Amino acid sequence: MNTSQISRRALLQGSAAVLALAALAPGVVANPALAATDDAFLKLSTFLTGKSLNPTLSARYLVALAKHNPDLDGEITALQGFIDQHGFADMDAFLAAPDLSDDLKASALKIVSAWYLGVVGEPEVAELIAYADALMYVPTNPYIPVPTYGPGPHTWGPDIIPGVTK
Amino acid sequence: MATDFDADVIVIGSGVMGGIIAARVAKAGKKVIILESGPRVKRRDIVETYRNAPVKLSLANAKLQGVGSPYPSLPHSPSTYGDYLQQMGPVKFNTSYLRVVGGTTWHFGSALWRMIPNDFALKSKYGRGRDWPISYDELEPWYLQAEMDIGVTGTDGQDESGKGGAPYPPRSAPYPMPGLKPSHFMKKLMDRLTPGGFNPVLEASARATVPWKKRPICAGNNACNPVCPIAAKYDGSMSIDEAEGYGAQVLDNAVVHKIDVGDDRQISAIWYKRPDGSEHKLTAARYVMAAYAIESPKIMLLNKQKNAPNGIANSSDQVGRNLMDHTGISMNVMAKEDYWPGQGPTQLLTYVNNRDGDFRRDFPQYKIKVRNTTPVLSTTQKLLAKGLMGSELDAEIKRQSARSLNWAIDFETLPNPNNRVTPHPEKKDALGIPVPAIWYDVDDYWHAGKEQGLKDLYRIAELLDADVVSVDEGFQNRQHIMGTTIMGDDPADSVVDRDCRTHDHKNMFIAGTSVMPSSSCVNPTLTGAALSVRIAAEILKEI
Repeated sequence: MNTSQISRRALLQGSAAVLALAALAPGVVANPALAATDDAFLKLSTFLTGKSLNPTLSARYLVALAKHNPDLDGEITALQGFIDQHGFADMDAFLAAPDLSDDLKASALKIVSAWYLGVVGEPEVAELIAYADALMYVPTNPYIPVPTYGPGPHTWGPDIIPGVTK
Repeated sequence: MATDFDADVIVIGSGVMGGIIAARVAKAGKKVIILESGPRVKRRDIVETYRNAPVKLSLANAKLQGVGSPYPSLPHSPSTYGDYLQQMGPVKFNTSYLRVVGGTTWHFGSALWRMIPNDFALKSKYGRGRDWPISYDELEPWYLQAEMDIGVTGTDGQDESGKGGAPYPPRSAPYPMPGLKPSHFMKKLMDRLTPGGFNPVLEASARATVPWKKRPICAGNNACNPVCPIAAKYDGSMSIDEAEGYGAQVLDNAVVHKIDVGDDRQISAIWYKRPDGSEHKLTAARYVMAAYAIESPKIMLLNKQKNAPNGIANSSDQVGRNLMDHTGISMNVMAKEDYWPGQGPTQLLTYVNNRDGDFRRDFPQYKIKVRNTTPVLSTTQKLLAKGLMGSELDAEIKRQSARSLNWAIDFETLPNPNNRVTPHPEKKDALGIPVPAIWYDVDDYWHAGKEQGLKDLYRIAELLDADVVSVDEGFQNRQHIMGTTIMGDDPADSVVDRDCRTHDHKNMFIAGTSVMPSSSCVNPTLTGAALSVRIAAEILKEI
């Protein structure tokens, strides 16, 4: 993201949100029953999403995903093993690999979906992990607001082109 | 004052209609009690609940109703998000009004249109539906007062009949606040569609554009539904606050279930239940039913008794009948250039070329609108469902969010006595009060409108050089409930008279859109509010 396009207000909101999340989840660590560590999950998620990620959120995604996916450990190990084995430069290379199995792709999609939507689990039992920090808003952040986090008065108009003029 | 009664005026329902009446009557020094079936809510709680909700409900994703809503659902006052409303007819009437202090305007998009003169004379001009007993000219001064009470922003000088002509309908004064600026997305659409003969109309709304009473100006949060996080948009709780400031008393979690009629055929008392089941009685010189167009008729029909054998105000058998909406259709298109819907508030850009004319003999008037709601969530869900990841995912989120446009049409519907609300014969809420049962269908007139509207939608897609992704002809509910206590001069076929007073009970008024004899195609809140201002004046003449 082009940081010059982030307002001071948005930055303050962002850090406030991180602090609030940290406060909400004191001492959240990887579920003891999980073999996967926070570091391992953060490393894998960083590769799968291609983004610099918040470790606190990562720890919460790990706990939530583990709750909804009994074999998450196995899936994390298999994914990381496949990535290490091929030494992919990025996710596009991973997706282009001829020997990428449907199972591995489904595991990757599960983790990517969580990070992008900010939600883990099917609608009836879904848990929200992040709202404004859900990754789906990253590509559109310079153009349109996350609902309820508006840019302030007089920030739109016929001649204010989203992402171009202020 | 109120020596023989508990209050001068009892208002049942704490939404915009009840709020306006309560504030005006209390301001005149009268004792007012307002009863609300649901609880008080705090804006910050609704905002937080919304942000934290895993499923984001909005009018645009009504399919997920029942999964969650930021507004409370309590056993004694169940939310309409869920299975509270019982669908009995061929067309689902899945509306969602709010049962909290302040009412449904908490989540309304806040469009505040006036009807046009011919909307009041549909039968005599075009041979359809019913005429109103009053004209636009008679209502005009009350429209203006309602616009002041609510705090309306609007663009002066527009031909709101969509003909691209002189300012219309006639106004005796400008809008209270200047109109919202159209976003870039709207300007770009206007540039493409005006050459095709589509005349844009920017809707009047309840979003402050200058500081207004306690409201700040709109900050473009794009969350008008479900809640304005900064209270720039009017909602009924603001009128209730005003009423309380003048001494009105609000009883929340007070579910009115019983209405007594005396031998003089006047309302003699109302009863409400607390969540614990206890019953309480109140009396007043005047009673105002303002519980919106499903709860009001339900309560009235539940109260059959010696002096009101068909139920309250129901000697005509019209209570609960003539249920109307602006039942609609929609079309999603993918444009070939960036528009970026979602900038600014969820203000709509509208086209009402077919708002008035001889065509109304053959098909209904309608309003075409394009939603200015950020499509990021729905877009991302679709892309992930297709398995997109990597750089393609980000690129497609950006491209499709910038280019996906949702067009929708709201059609006028006609009053049909078969479309009705009744108390369900078996199903009850936690207090033992029957839940609403709804029977609804659309007629050939509506279908003729749909055919006409579809042509316009495809023409719009063509002018935009956009690909049509989907068209939904599935009777979309527009959350504009009207007609269930219809107004008329003849007590044999209407429930209230031209002053919104029930024909049967001289000390009872009905406030809100349920009295409207015709629906037009525009959002009915302002019309209901104008009639409510008029009710307050009528009551103050008498007490």
